[in-house]
Amino acid sequence: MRRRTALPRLLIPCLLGSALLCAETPEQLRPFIEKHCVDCHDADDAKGGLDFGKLPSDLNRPETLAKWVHIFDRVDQGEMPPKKKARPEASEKAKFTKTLATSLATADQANKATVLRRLNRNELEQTLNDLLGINEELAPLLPEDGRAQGFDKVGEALDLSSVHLQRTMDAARQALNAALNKGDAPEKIDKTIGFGDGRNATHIGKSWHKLADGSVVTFNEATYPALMAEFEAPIAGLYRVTLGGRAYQSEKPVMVTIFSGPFFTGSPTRFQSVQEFLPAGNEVQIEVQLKVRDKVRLFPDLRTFDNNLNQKTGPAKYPGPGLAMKPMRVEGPLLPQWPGKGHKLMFGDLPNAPTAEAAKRMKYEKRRTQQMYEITSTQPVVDGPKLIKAFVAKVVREKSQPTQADAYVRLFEAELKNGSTFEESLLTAYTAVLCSPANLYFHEKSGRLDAWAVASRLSYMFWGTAPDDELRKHAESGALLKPANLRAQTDRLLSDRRAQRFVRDFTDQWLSLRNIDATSPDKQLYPEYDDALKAAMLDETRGFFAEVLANNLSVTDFLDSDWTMLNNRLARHYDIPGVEGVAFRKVALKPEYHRGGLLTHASVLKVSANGNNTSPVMRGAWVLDRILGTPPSPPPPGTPGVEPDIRGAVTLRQMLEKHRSTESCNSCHSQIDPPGFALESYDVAGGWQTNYRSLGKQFKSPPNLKRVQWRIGPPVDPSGVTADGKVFADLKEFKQKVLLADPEAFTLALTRKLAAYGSGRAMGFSDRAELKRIAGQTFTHGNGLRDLLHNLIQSEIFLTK
Amino acid sequence: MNAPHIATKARIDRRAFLRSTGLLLTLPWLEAMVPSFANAAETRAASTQPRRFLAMNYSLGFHVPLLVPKEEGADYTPSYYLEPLQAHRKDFTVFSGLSHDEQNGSDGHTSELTWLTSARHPGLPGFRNTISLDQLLVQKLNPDTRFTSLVLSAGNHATMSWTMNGVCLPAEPSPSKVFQLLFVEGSPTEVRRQLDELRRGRSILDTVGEEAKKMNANLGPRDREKVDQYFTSVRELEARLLSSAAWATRPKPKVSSAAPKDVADRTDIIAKTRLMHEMITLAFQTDSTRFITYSAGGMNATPKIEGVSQDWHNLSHHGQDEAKIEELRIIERAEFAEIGRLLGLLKGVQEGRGTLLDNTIVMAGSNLGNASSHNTRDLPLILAGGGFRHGKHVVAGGKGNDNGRFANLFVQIAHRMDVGLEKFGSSNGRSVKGFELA
Repeated sequence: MRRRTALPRLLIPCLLGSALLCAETPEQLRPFIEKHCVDCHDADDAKGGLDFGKLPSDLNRPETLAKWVHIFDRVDQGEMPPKKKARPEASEKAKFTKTLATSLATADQANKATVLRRLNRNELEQTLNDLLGINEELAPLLPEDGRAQGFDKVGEALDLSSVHLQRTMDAARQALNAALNKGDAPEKIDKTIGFGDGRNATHIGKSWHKLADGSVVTFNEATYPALMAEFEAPIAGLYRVTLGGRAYQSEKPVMVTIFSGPFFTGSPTRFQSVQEFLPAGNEVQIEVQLKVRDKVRLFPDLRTFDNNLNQKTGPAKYPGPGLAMKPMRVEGPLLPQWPGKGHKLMFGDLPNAPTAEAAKRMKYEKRRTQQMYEITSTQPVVDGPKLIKAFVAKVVREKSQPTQADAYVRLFEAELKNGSTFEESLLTAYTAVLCSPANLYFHEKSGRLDAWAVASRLSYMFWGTAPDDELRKHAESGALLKPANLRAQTDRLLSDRRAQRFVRDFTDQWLSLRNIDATSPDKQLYPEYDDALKAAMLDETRGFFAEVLANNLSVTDFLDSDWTMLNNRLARHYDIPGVEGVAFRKVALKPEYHRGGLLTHASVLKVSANGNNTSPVMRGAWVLDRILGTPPSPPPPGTPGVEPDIRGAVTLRQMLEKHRSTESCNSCHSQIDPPGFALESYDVAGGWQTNYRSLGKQFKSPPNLKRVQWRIGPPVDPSGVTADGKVFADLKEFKQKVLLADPEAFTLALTRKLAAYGSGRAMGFSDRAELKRIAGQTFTHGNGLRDLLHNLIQSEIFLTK
Repeated sequence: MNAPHIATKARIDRRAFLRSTGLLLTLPWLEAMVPSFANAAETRAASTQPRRFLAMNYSLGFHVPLLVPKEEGADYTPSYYLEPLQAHRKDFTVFSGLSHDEQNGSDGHTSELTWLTSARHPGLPGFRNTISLDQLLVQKLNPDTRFTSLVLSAGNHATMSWTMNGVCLPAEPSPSKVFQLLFVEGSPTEVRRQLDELRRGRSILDTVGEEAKKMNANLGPRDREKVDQYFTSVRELEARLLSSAAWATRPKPKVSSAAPKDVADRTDIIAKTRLMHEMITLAFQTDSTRFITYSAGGMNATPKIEGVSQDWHNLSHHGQDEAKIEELRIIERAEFAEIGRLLGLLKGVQEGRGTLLDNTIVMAGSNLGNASSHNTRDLPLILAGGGFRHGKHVVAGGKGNDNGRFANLFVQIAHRMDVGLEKFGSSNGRSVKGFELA
């Protein structure tokens, strides 16, 4: 036996080596490790990559702490020592875990405060847009943000470089320029344009048919000729588009996906919305944010279109279903006021006039641009400081100080002296304010947070932006710190339209919905996947979360539910009858639909697979990390991925069997794979499957589907056994026997995610007790999501740094 | 499209040039001027030719069986992908058996982040990227060029360049913007406005730097690290704005090629690559920069190439389907043909007694050895130019887990550029066996 030599004597004193821990007796830990661990985890075997002889001991290093926490969890949950080995006595184990827990909690406690947190690029964009009343895309100007525990909201991971600072200056200047409203308000257009007008007239009689009432009928799906009236946005802004149309020669409504963009080959397009037109005809009104020269294009969903027949008969006699569109009305840009909110904040009511040079040009030139005008002041040294003070007061998220604007006033005055114009000097000062630490960072002092810090955490958690006027009022007075008031403000924020940002951003990151475009399902294998379906997938999950939040439903509904949010497109994908219309609504689920809970959402099933095939390992690891809150360790160095073969003779599961039969692989894979196996009943696009789809020629084509290239591949096996021996036949049983057997575990996992998201720091070992308390308190009182958020907001974790 | 070329054949009026620039050392490296240098110092400056580094990553990988030749050494039979490079056979080396260690990351493509940094476990908890080779060389050599480095991409904002504290440098996808920055001279009013902006920028930095000092009270040690980051950023940016102001008054190099128009169709990857390769050549040729990284891309769309009908990313996950590999090889061979064309451009420019390629290390490869399974071993890689002894297939290690360390090549590249690194990332040696200087 190598036991004596395998464990260096120094280990335990080192582990407990920080000054706080000297009182502990190392002897309490050592016998357990020597007796139960080092046999496999020494230099010779180092199973799972762990060798106690080489394990570092400084718990102040995060990676070392993480390793010891991992060891604690394996022992605490009874996974180690493994079943085959001698089991430690209960008292022996308790002594070990208790001693280790104390060291780990103390070490974590000493290091855990939220590290000075920077606004991430989305928060910065939203903050500037809200401050200035604009709608600019600023985030893409900035480098991508670092993440911790899956979120880009954690101070520790949000670094700053000179590149950030330079790009922030650029973004700030772009935002300020976008808010400038000099000269006269732009002319509002209100045009009605027929789809067959202008150059589009050439299509009438060839591909399109014109009705007596002026409507243009297309039988064409999405491609040439494009259903796009001759309209280009003259300037960027918000436009209202009114569309009247009807499903033609069709008993069913026709769905239409609407995009905007310049629409030259390969140019970027922006998804706007999905609408439908009924046989009886209806009118649809949408508001679209357009860039200059953007067009609006409709893509009708007319899958039965038979091009050959249309060519033969001509569109007038073609009997198939089509879409008849009346002329389109466009109004815009829609501006709430001129000059707008941002302009007023920057320049108050100061007049502007054409510059001397522009005044000459204006005599013979019709075009007017912002650069032709200049803000003027008769008393710059009075007006400037006054405006700067008001601007700074709107930006600063701390208790106001009489001197807080002084530095920017000095900058303004120096610029004026340097010969810059009044306007330019002010813009320079404003740029500095927006790039200052006051704007870029959260301002939290150690210990209990002050009312301003709480207001900021609250506002950035639920609205992704700086506190609004009301929250500022409660922060400045300190009233926000009263629990009842904090609760009322939390409710106010959650009930506001802007809470959609929380729903969207949190689900984007928690469930990786941001990755929806990381792969696109193979067109041959999954021809049903399109933009309308993708949009519907995302809307289901966001809508589901919003529904749970709005009605304080139990978070257990995320695990399994007898309802979901559907529209007709997604219902068709799920093969659920009776859902008409593009609007999302709550739909009751029957067992035979095979749906219920997040794991059956097509969005989740899509992001946890790649474009061609599902992998039980990837999906299993995803469930462990996102749903159960127990992310698996990364594969040990040198583990190759299993290579899928979509010709389909051997399923990935069969290939995995070999891997799983190796003991060292199986110790992790017995945890990872089972949820992935259960999810094999759903394909990469989230559709239900009993057989894999395959391109292998040896398989049969599906009987009732025309024009698809895929064939019916090997059958799916969604059964499995969990690491602790629970046998399940499919996802339904997996949900019942595993997920719903301990729903509080999920409440705890979700609490941890929300806590990291809201407090801006990664949750550590010493937070476990408080997280458990929050989850437990929620669970015993109905497990509602809104209650959970209230409990979290009122907790030590949220209210202290 | 015609190859870009620079108006160096017609002698530049050197005196006029010097008058406007003032400093000899900051002269762009223009071949046409060398014969007219008179004194010894100038001749010496001319003989120490700048060394350059270009890294190009193809993030969807290459189908390695079609790249790696069967035979080792100089007598290899060109593989399908290397056929279009045969005109330059003596100017490049094809490697096999190299990889970085422990590249399992948070998803199958995160090894993109670490191809040029060699950091481990990209994207997993606790991951923080380290400095990329190009940026390390920039930091050590501090080149006095208009741009210390250029970070370019084929259309997305993907980047392989990372700073010392693990912040990514965003990539520029537009060739016309690169051209604008490098060669298009502003009018006197524009230059004055630019100088004004740079001065205002510095005043802004002064102000916010002072404001940051107020934060230091009541902060713990880890908070102070973040405040230090802010100060460091302010200082670095101030220095950069100063240097930009100095460059703003110097005339930009004159080139005869017209300003390019960006390729509007984002799926026309070959036209886009070609244009960016021309910009890269021009940038090196005029000594506007000595360090360029180019994320050559990959995308979730069908590239516009004859014979290709499917989404590129999906094709890379071919799952051994012959029909998919058939299309994939069309794309990838076209990419290699473009690499060949780039080598031709670099070789076509005389510099001192050699060519631009002799003074430029061109590293092209991918972070994925088998994109179909996201495997990060056995990376596809070629290295051209830079004065190494080329013309071979170097088998640098065994298969899979027995691969040699890719980062050893980084150390070797650094040495070639007179940066005496002992170690980079996961390197365990200072060179790749069988690969040496000419």
